Amino acid sequence: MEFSNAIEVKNLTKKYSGFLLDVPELVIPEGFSTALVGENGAGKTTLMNILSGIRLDYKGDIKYFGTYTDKDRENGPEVKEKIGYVGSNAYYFPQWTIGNIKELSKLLFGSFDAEKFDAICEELAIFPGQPIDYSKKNSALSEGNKMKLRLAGVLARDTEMLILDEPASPLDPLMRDKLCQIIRNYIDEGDGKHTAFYSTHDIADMENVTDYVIIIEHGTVVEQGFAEDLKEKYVLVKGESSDADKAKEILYTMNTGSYGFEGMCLAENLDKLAGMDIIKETPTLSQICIAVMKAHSKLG
Amino acid sequence: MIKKAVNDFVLGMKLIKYGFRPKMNLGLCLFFIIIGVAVEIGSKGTEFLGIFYMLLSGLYAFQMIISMDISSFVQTSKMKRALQTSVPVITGAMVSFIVYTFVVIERLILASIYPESATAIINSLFMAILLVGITLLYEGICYKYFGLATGLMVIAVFGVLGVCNFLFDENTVVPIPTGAVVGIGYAVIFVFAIIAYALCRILYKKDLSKFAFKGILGKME
Repeated sequence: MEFSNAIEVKNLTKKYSGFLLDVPELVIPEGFSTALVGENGAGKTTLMNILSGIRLDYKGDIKYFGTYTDKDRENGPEVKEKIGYVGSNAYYFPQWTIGNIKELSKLLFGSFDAEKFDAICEELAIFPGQPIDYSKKNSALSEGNKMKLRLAGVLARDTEMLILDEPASPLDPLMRDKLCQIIRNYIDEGDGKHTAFYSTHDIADMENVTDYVIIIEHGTVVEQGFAEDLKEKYVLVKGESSDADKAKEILYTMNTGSYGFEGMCLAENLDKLAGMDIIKETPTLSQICIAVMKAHSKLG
Repeated sequence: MIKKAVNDFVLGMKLIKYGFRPKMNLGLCLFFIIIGVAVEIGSKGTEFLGIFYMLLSGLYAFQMIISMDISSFVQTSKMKRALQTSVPVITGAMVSFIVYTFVVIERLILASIYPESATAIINSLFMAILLVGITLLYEGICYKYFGLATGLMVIAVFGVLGVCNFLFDENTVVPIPTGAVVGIGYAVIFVFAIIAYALCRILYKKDLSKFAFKGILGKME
C-alpha cells in the first residue's frame, strides 16, 4: 500500500532514570487512524508527549507532514496549529471555567472556532438538555465530561492531525462508540489529509476505527503495521492438549487449559504445525496486540 | 522589538488570571506589598526589605504566567516558547519596573524629608535592587532546575547582603550618588531581565522541574 506519512521518526531516544525510550524507526501514515498500544509504563505517553512538542529534551529526528522538522515545530506556528493534542492528565487547570477554556483556546490557537466549540459541547451532551454553563469549573466536571471538553476544544480547531492520549479511558461504552465515530468522521472529512493517532489500553473498543497499529513495550516499538497486514501476518490457532508441547515450540504465544491450547502463530510458521489437529482463525486486533505484548512483557 | 515587548507584556497581563491559583497568588503579592509599605513607613525608608517585598510583585507576575506551562494544553500551542521565555520575563520585568519607579519617587521624597537619613535611604535602595537582580536570575533557572536555582539564590542573597552591610556600615566606600543608584536600579532590571530571558531560551528544551510544579501537578492529576 502506498501512503505518505504524517509523522516519521528516526533514532528517537529519551532517557529517564530507569527507563529508556528507544525508537529507531516509526511512521504514522497520513490519512489513517493509528492506535498506539502498550503496557502501563511502556512509553506511550512519553512518545506522544515528544511528538506533540511537550517534551523537548530528546535525541533523534522527527518529520511532520513530510515537510517540517521538529525545529520547525518550535520555531514556527504551522506544525502546532496543524496538530490537536488531547492529554490524559495535566491538561486544563482545575480552576478554569468552561468560559476560561474557550477564551484561552482563542488566545492560543489561531484556528479555534468558538461557535463550533459550543456546537460540539452540545453534541457531546456535556450539559444534556441544558445550555452550556460557562461558569462551571473544569474540576466540577466528571472525568468523562472532562475528556469530552478536551475533545470539544481540539475538534473546534482546523487541524490535520489529532494526537489523543488514552481518550477512551474515562468514557462510558456509548461515548467510546461516539469517539470512534468522531475519529472516523475526522479521517473521512480530511480527504486523505486528516490523521488520528491515539493510545489505548482497550484496543477492542477502538478496533473498528483502527487502520494502523503500533505496539510499544519497554520503550521500544515491537510491532507496527496496517491492521489488515497484521491479520495476515498472525494466525490464531486452537488445538488439542496432546499437541500442546509440540505446538509451544512453534507458536508465538500460547495459552493452555483443560480444553486444549490456543495461541498466536506467525503465518510463515503455519507449515510447521502440519499433522496437528488444529483450527485456524483470523485473529482480532485485540488478540494480536495481547499476543505481541505478552511475547515481550516482563509480567510473570 | 519594543512593539514585541509591549505585546508580550499586554499578553502576559491578560494571561495572569489563567495562572495557577490566581486569587491566592495575587493575594500573596498584595500581602507582600502591604508588608513592604509597612516596613517603609516604620523604617522611614532606611531598610532594604520593604522595597524588596514590594518588588517581589514582579516575581509573582512571572510565576503566575509560567505556571500555565505545566498544562499540556498550553504546551502544545504555538505560543509555548513565548510563554516559557519572553512573555513571563517581560511581564515580570515590567511590573518590577513600574513598582521600582514608585519606590524611587517615594525614596527621593523620604530623602528630602529626612536629609540626615538620606545615605541610608539610598544605600538600602541599592541593596534592594541587587536582590531584585538575583531574583530575576532565579526566574531564569528555577522552573527547570529548582533545587540548583534555590541553592544558588540563597548563596547569592547572603553574599550580597554581607558585602553591602560591610561596605555601608563601615563607610569604607564613598556613598554612591543618588542619581547613579536610581540609574543602576533601572539598568539592573533591564540587564538582568535580558540575562533571565537568555537563560530561559538556553534551558527551554529542558523538562520543567517537577519539584517546582509539585503543588500544581498534585491538583491536576
